[in-house]
Amino acid sequence: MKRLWVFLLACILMLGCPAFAVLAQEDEEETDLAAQEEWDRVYGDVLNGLDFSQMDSALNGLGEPGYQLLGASVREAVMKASQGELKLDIWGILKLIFASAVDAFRKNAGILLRILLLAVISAILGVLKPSFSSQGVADAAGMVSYLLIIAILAQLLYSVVGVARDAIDAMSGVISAVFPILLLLLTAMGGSMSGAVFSPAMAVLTGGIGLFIKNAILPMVLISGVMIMVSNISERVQIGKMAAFVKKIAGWSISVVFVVFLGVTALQGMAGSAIDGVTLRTAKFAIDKFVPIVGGMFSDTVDTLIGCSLVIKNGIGIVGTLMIAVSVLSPVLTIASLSLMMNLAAAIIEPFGEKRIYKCLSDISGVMTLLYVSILALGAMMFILVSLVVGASNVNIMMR
Amino acid sequence: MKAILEWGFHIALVAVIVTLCEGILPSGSIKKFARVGLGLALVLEMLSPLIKLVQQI
Repeated sequence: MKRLWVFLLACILMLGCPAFAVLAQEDEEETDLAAQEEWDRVYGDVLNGLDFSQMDSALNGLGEPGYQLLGASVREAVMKASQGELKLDIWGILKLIFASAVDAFRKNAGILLRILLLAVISAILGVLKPSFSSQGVADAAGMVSYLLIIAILAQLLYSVVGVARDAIDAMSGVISAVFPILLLLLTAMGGSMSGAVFSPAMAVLTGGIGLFIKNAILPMVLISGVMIMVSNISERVQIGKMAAFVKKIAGWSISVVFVVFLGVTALQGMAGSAIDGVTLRTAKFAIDKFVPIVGGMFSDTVDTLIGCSLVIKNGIGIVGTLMIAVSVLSPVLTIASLSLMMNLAAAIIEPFGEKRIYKCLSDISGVMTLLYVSILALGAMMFILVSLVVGASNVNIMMR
Repeated sequence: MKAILEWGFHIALVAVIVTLCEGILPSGSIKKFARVGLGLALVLEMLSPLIKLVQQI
């Protein structure tokens, strides 16, 4: 008799199960909504307490691509990024890059055409050379056409250096807007040592390296270009090696700065975050053990607060790196497409046999390569620094 | 920045002047000597930062 009762009970329970499952599902949907509310409650305070005005103005400075990628407001972008809802579709980004490159090409196609036209005229003058009355007249005609091409090139080089200078300014603006907030949150979650260690690195980066590239590398590039142009005027006066030397010095100093920067920041990041992890752990232990009765609860609250700052900070880190990437994108594409165009022009002109014209064009394209490499290097440094700060705090949460 | 730019542009300027001078030189025995002199001027302009440094020491 007893067995029968147990069997019946089991049957009833089994029949009931699907109903429970349905109930559980409804519960889940409710939890989704509740989770959103919970998110707002927990993170909203931290998020709303931060001042994003500087980052907003930096984002506005990025123009159309920044708007397409991140939307109009930094706060919303950070919220999406920390919830994992920031949609970055690869096709959209590729389309953005492609549109930017096409734009740069279209803007500069006229210059290419002008250079080609002058080269063709110069080649025709070369063909007509025997019919000139004297050798001197023919030489003068060749030189005049070369000087006209140089005038266009000098203007172009100057404007490209201007583009690079603006790009460096914009990048410094972005990084100096992102960093204070990142460091604030890093300190808020107990990373006082990492914060103290990173803040000089940040000062060096935003001030020092940007200034160095702007005030030393860009003039060197300009001078190197001018020397290349002058050196090709006549066969006898050659200062091409001096131009190559200046260019080489500029390249070397970029790589030295890059390596030193990487080494220093990586080491500092490691040292700072390990110490912070230990400090955090001690603090938690002290609160837990030395405050009677409510100590345990309090130390858990500290944990929640730290985790919350971490989530927001990682969101800001993502948005910051995206902003840096966007600010690098357009100038690099402009300069790279121009450099490619110079190479193309040199390749087209070579069959005409105007040696100094195509030599000058290809050398100047080499100089422009240095320009966009230096912008890329600066962008990479900023990228690394932001991800290092984000990573450092993750480490000190891990050490806790 | 200003010093580097000045140095580079001076070199370029001297190179242009040297080129022009070579163009209008009369052909003859004097041309050889004039060329050496012009070349020397260009080299001196290139080395001017070094010369300034030596003077300071």
